[in-house]
Amino acid sequence: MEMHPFYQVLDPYLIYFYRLTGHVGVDFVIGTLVLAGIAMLIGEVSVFLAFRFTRKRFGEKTAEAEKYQNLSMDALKAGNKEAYQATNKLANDAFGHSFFQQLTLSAAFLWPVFFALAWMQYRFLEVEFPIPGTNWSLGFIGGFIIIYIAAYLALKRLPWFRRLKGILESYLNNGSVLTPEISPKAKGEHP
Amino acid sequence: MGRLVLPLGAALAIGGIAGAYLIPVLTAGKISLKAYVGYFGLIVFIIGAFLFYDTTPKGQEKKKKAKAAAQAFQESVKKGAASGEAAAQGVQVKSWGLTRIDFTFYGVEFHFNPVWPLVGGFFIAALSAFLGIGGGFLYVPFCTNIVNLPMYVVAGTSALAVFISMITSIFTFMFVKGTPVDFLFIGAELVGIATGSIVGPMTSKYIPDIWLKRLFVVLAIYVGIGYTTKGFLGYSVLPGL
Repeated sequence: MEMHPFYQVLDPYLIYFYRLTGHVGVDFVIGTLVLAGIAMLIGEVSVFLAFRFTRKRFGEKTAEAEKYQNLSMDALKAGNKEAYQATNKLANDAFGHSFFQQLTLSAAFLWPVFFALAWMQYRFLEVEFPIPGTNWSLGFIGGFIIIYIAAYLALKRLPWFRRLKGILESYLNNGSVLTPEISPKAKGEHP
Repeated sequence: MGRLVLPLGAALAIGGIAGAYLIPVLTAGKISLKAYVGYFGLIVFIIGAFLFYDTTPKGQEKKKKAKAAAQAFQESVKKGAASGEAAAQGVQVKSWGLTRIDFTFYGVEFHFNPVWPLVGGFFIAALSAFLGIGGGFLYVPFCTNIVNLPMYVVAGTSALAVFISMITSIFTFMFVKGTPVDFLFIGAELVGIATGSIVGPMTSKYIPDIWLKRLFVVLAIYVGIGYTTKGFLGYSVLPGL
């Protein structure tokens, strides 16, 4: 399989980390860890930027979904079936908007992973790691996923990364669907 | 966990696993690309038809009525006309049965027949595995409109079902059927999706919802005709497809 010209430029830099110790297994882990780290950092930065541009709209839609969800629960408690069906339908519409917005924004985080896997496909397509005690083996995709998770757990401890995650989570929490707040009126707690 | 209806998630997931496993096993390598293109064109038509209905006076009227009812109820809550009593918080499953499951959510009683989410989960996952269309955007309306459950519990529960059926489908295609994956293509697609996720919300505030839907309907008709003819006739009657 001939390497895409895009990867021909990057290949010497990426493969460098796979040749550091001379031990095949160790080198694979180090190289993939570096690759996963790069993919994760690029993903975090791009999802951060995407949220910065869209958080207002994102917040509006999730607030709308939350409002109708709360109303639908109030309607249920009040035994108003017509109002429940109406508000549940509007909650469904608004949730659809915010759900797809979240889903598409997750692409901003994940795209570097697939570019990394595409490069690994040129280099490690035939590589198999036997799983001890079984007849199965792990390909480069499985290896990458495990190391990516490890890199994520390691990186999230870094102060800079934690700060970035904190800002992102605050965007999400401000616009996310939280626990229902049933209004005091609908609870029957009339003043 | 307070918003996860385990029996509903389990019924959706079991149906979903079956659909997501069977479709790759039965169709991978057996259906020509042309047929895929044709079926995809037909599905695009159906989605376009649903959206077209939403833009008709009848579809709009339904939405207006829903908004009016919601508004009226909101007013009645403000005036203190509504009443009710909140009981235990979160989801509590009261009884399990083959044809009826009862649970309470914030003290309100719900019930559903698990056969429906099982069947629905199967077909939604099958469609999703076959054409890549489906998942969350079908699970949620299916649970709210057909099984008649509240959005509060549907959002979290369907996410579990989507996740399980998606993993099953990807795993079966890649590792059971050995379907090759073009990662570079997926990466490029995701860059496009991410760009769209930024550009879309920034521009949509200038275009009314109904016009966005109309624009999609026009595109759906164009793509639907193009792909259906390309798939089933062997050539597209429209340029660019």
